[in-house]
This record gives sequence, C-alpha cells and structure tokens, in this order.
Amino acid sequence: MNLYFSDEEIQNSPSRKDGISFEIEDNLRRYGTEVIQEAGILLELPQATTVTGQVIFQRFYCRKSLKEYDVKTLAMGSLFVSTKFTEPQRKIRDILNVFTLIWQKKEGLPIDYIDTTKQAYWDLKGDVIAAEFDILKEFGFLMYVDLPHKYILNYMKLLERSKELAQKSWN
Amino acid sequence: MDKYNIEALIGEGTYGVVSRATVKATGQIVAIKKIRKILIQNQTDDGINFSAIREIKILQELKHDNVVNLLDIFAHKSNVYLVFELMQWDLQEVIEDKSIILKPADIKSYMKMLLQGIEACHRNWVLHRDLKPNNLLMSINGDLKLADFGLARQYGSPNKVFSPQAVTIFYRAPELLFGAKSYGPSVDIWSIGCIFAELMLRTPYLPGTGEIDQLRKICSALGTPNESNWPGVTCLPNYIKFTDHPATPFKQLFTAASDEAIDLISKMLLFNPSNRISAADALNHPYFTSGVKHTNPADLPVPFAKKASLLQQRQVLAQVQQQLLQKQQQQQQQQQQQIQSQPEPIQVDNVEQTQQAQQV
Repeated sequence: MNLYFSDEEIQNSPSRKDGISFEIEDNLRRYGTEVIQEAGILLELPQATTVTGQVIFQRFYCRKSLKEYDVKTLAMGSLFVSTKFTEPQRKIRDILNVFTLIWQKKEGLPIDYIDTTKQAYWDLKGDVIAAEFDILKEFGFLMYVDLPHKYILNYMKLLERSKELAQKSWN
Repeated sequence: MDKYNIEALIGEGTYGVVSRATVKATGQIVAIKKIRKILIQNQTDDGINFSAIREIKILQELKHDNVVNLLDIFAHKSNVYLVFELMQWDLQEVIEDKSIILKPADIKSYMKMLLQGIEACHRNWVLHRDLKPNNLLMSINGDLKLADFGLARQYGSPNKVFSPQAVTIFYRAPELLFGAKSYGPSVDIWSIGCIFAELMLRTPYLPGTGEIDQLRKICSALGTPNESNWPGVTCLPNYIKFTDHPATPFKQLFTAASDEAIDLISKMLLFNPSNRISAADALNHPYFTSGVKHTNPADLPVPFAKKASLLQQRQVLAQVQQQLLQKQQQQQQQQQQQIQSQPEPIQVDNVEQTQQAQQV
C-alpha cells in the first residue's frame, strides 16, 4: 500500500517543468521539512507523526509544482494531515500558532500571537484546510506511509554503527 | 460523481447523509456517504471530519468478508464522498422484529460472522470500539458485516492513551466504566458478549441509563468485581465500591441455551480483561463445532418490512446483470460479424480493420 516514485519521476519533478532549478527546489523542500520538524517538537508530537508529515510533504512535491503550491501552507497542511492519520490530533489553531511563531522567529519579525478575530487568521485557516483537501485528493486518500526510518534503525543495528548516526536519521 | 446515479436518501449518519445510488456502468447498487462540507468560518471546524478520516484509513487497510467494503472515495467540489456496498438491514431490526423467531442455529451463524469480522480487525491491530446491533449490517446475501469505524483505533503501541468514553453504554466494558485509559481488544469482546445475550433474550441485556447505573446493572447480573476476580480493579481511576451482590447464574437467565453457549458467554463477560476470551479462541470454542450446525447466511431470517424490497432488489440485480451479459454478448457477436463480413483484399488492411473492430 506504500507509495513509490520512480527515479525518473523524482528527477523530472513538476517544479522542474515550471523552470525551477534543482538547487532551489531542494532548498525549499529542505526548508519545509525543517520547519515541520520544529513544529513537531513544539506541538509535542511523537516523532513518527512528524516524520510522516515530512514524507507527505515530499510526496506532494513529486506530484505538484512549487509554483502552484506555497511551501509554508503545504508544510502546515502536511503536518495537519499527518496528525489526523496517526492519531495524536491537534487543533488547527495550535498548528497555525506554532508555525507562525517559527516564521516570526526565523524572519526576525516581532513575536506576536495570531489574533483569531482578524481576517488574516481565517484566511490562513482556509488556506491550510484547502491544502489538506488538495493533499488528500492528490493521493486518493491513501495516506499510508511506510516510514523508511525503521529500516535505517534495523540496518544500523545490523551493521553495528554508532547510535549517533541512528539518532541523526530520526531528526 | 458522473459514475453514479443518486436515487434516494436513506439515512443520516454522524457526519453526513447517506444516499442510495447505482453505478452506471455495472448497475451495482451502492450506498454513498457524503461528508459534510467544511465550514472555515466555523470556530470549531477543523478541516475534514476526524472520524471520517479514521474510517477511511482503517477501511482501506481492512478487507474482509465480514467487514463493510469501502468501494471508492472521491472528492467533488468541496465535499468528500465514501462509496460503500449497500447493506439491507441491521441486526437491531432483526432483534426488534417480533415476528422473527431466532433459532439457536441462527444465533450461532450471527455470532460466527461477528467473531470472524472482529478477529480480522484485531489481527490488523484495530479496535472497533463501537460494537452494537445497530452497527452490524446485513448484506443482500445475508452476510453480517461490521460497519461504522468512526470510533475505531489502532492499538498495540504501549504508550498510547485512549479515551474511556468509547462504546455505546449498554455494550461498554466495565474497565471503560471505571475509567481505564489503556485497554485492548477485550473491550470489543465484552460488547460481543452483550450482543450474544441480546440475541438470546431479544432485549438489551444490560440497559443502563448512565455510567453508574450501567455498573449497577453489571454488578447485579454478573456479581461484584473485587481484587480476587479482577486483580488491580481498585486502582482504576473511577473505581467505586459496590455492595456485594451474587451473580445470577447464566443458566437461570438463558434457559434455552446449550451448555457450550453458556460457557462461551461466561468467558466473554469475565470481569478481568486479560482473562476474557480472544476472538480467535472464541472461534475455536466447542460452541461452533458441536451441537446444531450454524445456518447458511442466505437462509437467515429477514425483517418483515424488508422482505418485499429485498426480493425486488435481488430480482432487479439479476435482471441488470443479465442485460449486461446480453449486451456484452451482442457486442461480441457484432464484432465477430464485422470481422467476418469484411472482404480481404490485402492482408495489411485486414489487420488494421480487425484492430479497429477491437477498439470499438
């Protein structure tokens, strides 16, 4: 039931067709997963949920272009879908709060709570729900993720590599 | 959406309406569950309904004859639709229909199908958590299928915390009533035990009006739980001490039941969850191997109100299938005729023409 992509599909991603270079795409996708990781920690999610969110995020950009879908919104959407599928449910408001906090920190903006009475909050919420819907639709609701990390841990053990390396693979 | 012809509204579920529809291509009758539109402006609305996601996730992984079959999921506009095979009636209707007499063989058949379904769930690490006659649906062929996985969860991870607010109160196991936050497949077995009793009694076995009343009913029927028959019970969060009450022997209540049936139900309704029989063991219980043979699913009693419509539906289905068969045969014949009637001037042409005919 796990989803696989061929090398060719990964090499010729939709973003590439839109003229986005490999370096930019790679950077943006790395940035997205990093943010998801940070948000996962702040939301006190199990690592498996965070990692699932990252896998969903990466999968989506194998199907759709960065030109069409914003990295920030999609990072939120991926983590939101992941929390729904792997159980420790989080409110969309918490997700929005945590992500805005991370961006405010990263971009050196003044740190401020989002005001739920303002239109900006509702717009953001709408975007995330739309992203959630697009993700689910794109994969036909098949969100099963066979995490590669457990194989890494197994092989690490088998090859008797250091614990540090194993830890690095997780986060 | 274009694949289906929506015919009639048949019910309202927890998170949307259910309609009956036919698949245009095959004439198959299906039930389509529409999930309520997402309202962004609503303060409490968190995207696509959570229990719908649970149901989708679990049903995609579970494919079994005794679990309701999820045929398709599709999104149209901003709604999500789940397509199920259409079920005819539920066990509740059978139990409440006083014109039906349930023979021991019929009960055995229901129990067998129910246990097979739940065994498949447990084998895949899924807890159903809402077993009740209402959620046990009967197919056109009389097969019993588990439905409504909106409360179902995966289990097996030791540090997961579950809510004890699961299962409809009549069928809720005592460890849930005492507020246990980690539990296992034994909660489903308790529900099955209650359903078993209900099939024999034809009325809910433990109809409590609230959590405390439910516990009182359990105590008066099965005795009082204490440290000797359930070690650790006093440590549960919501433990309340009840006055000691002797258990009513099952034999006294279920006068018509066989000894094997009594033995099975007493193993399903044990206080200590870890001693309760597992679904796989229950299927190997002598109840299923000795005594009367279980009824063939197709011969199980049909609720009076559904008899006429069921016959009609079976006929319609047969007709539609026949029509389709005829159509296919006609098409094949036409193709063959076309191929035969064409002259063969040059061989290359002939190949092309047969290809065209095949495409048609």
